[in-house]
Amino acid sequence: MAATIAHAPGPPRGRRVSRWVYVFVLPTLVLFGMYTIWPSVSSIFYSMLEWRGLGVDRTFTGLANYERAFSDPLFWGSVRVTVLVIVVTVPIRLAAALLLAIMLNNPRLPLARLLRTAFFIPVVATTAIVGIVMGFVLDPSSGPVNAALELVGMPAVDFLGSSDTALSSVMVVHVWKWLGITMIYWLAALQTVPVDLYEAAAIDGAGAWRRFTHITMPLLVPFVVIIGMLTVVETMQIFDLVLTMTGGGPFFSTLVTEVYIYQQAFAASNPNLGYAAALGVLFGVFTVLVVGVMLLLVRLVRGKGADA
Amino acid sequence: MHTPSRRMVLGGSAAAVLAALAACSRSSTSGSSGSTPPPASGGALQWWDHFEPLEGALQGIFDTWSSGADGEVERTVYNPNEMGQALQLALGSDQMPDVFSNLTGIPTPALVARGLISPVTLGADAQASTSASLFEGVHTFDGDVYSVPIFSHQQHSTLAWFDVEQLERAGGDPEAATQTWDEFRRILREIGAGGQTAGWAWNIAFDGRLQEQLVDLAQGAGQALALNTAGVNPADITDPSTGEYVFHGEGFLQALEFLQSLVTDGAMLPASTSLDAREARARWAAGEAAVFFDGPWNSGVLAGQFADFLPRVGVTNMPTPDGAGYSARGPSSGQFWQSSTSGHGEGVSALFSLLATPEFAQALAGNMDQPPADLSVVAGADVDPTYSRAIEIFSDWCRLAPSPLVRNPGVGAVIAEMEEIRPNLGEIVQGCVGGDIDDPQTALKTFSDALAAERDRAIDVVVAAGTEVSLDDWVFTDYELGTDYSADRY
Repeated sequence: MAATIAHAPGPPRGRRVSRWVYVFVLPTLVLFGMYTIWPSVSSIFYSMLEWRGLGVDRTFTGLANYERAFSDPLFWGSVRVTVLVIVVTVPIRLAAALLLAIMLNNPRLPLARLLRTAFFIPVVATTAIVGIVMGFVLDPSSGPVNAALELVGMPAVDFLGSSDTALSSVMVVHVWKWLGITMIYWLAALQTVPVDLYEAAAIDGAGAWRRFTHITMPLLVPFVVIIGMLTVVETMQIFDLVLTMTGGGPFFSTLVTEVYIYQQAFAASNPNLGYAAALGVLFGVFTVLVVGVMLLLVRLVRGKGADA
Repeated sequence: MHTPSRRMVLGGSAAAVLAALAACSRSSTSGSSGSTPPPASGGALQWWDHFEPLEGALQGIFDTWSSGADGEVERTVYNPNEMGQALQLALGSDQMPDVFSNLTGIPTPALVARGLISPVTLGADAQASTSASLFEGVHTFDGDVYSVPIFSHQQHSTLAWFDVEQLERAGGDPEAATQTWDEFRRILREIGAGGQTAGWAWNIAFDGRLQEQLVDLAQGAGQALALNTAGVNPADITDPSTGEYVFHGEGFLQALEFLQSLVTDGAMLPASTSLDAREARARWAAGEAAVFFDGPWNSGVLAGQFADFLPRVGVTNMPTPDGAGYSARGPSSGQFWQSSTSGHGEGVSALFSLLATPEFAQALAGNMDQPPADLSVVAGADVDPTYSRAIEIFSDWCRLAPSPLVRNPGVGAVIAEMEEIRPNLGEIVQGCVGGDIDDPQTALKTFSDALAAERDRAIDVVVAAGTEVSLDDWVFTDYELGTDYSADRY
């Protein structure tokens, strides 16, 4: 035991190395402070002001902006739309991306690399450009989608101009745009499944479905929550796609919270940065709550895995 | 090959970090490079606006001023959507330009009250030529001149621009200056029935323009309105006989029903539901629709972007129930304002004096944008016939509305205090034509009531702060739509 301690890897000159540790951590601390801590603290301060964002006229109003937010039907409507987007698109992305990842993880699949690249290309495309291009693709007058519908004898659909279809259209494009990144997460997770387990199961006569349900899925369970959490956070950042595809319309049907905050801060006839900051803080709290719940789930799942 | 030691790497990294910090420090203080504008106190005179088509006209006065003064102007043109954000950031970082166009959303009296703008001293010629067009509370405050209007109040955004060939094929008269609602609907139905071209392209995704068009059409239907300025913001628009918000009035309801009827007739280009004004114009110019509502600047935009299409275009006034409806706007506000932080007071005054010259008005007309303050100069300008036609229509059918703001500049403080009511007027139009609002009358009444309540609250706030203002400031019982409410009537 004593020999083990004597040979354990450790800092040869502890005090000097610890100083260097602080030096190397310093840039991260400074940047994190400048670009995360300071804006967050500033937002909380601004949220308690009556401030148009112009001039030095700032009146401290305490929690008045929060009171207004809690009674603002458009804010709650935007939260409802945001939650709806999360509830609908996250499971679809997780399931579809897992299916794709399993298919592309098969070493015998021809053109697997090409297909992986093809599914990943939308991820690296600029979201604003995707939004604008999709406006043309889904155009009811001359878009290719409606031309195809017309070819098969179906009536034209006003995908982005009708409040019945606009949100669904945005969600479909969002899933398509980000499917590739979720697929990459799953592919990385699949690399952790030992191949010899599959080989042993195959020798025991297990088919593809039983190998999936009895080996792949149980071993992927710890990843479900973390990939789900990443996907939820990505989905909450849907601002640029909504702004370029619908601007939050028609008639608020695609008004997600990020777009509503932007409108209050910059696009209102009389901008109100104080109120927008209050909405931003509330949305931040909502995000932290969602992530917190999911982290708790991760711990729960890991705890159960360790117990097992 | 020499391998650097760890100390060398660390030393090099530290030097690089220091150099980067030093570079950041330089760029944030000098402002002479990159996109960061320099401070307004020195160097070239900084001029920010959002009037891209005015390049030629403004450059003319900049050159005139530069040739007689030891200075130069650096102009930055912003997208209108970004101008307000740029000013917000500039104010927050003490980097305001010397001159800016006011897209802050804050009424001018509030800019004055907050000390954000400062007065200019016009030359004798400019004083003489602008004496009839400057209004206290809009351009002057306590007798000091803050800006001069370069555009006319005689304009609106609902001229009916059409493809002459399509209109003639549908039995319309391209020479007619006005059309009735019934005739307009018949023509659009006729064009749409051909199946090749939609009757009408609309900008439903641009709620700001929708509310302008509804206000124009409501006036055309006989609804008299008081407007603080030539801009169209619902908080600024009231019933002159009572001083109340009247968006649920008969004129507005009829105008909305008319717009809905064009949609239910099947005359509208289906894609209109997700088009803003620029996109709708492009679709119309590409031949997807025959008619398009727009302001006089359409001639200038077509000349620049769709020159082949312009010779095939005609224009009439907005359709009205009987083909003889007037519209009116409040006094045209100044477009440019001097920042109170400017260190170029004399230069800005000289430039503002040049804005009031006939030469500038002539150059302005040549841009075919908003009409110049003096409409008569258009006749002598080198402009497209459609632009001349639009100006003739405005001369005949657009009048000067009464302005509560001119009567009492304290009204501006009330407007500045008011929060935006949503859904706003444009969004209500959007909801009605899209089927999201089943009962337009109730929606408009709710909107009027919400605005009235918000104004009452704002009045209480500004009165408590010492401003003298009351609801009586909004009442003009002697006004009739179709007449000019000139300065001598206040």
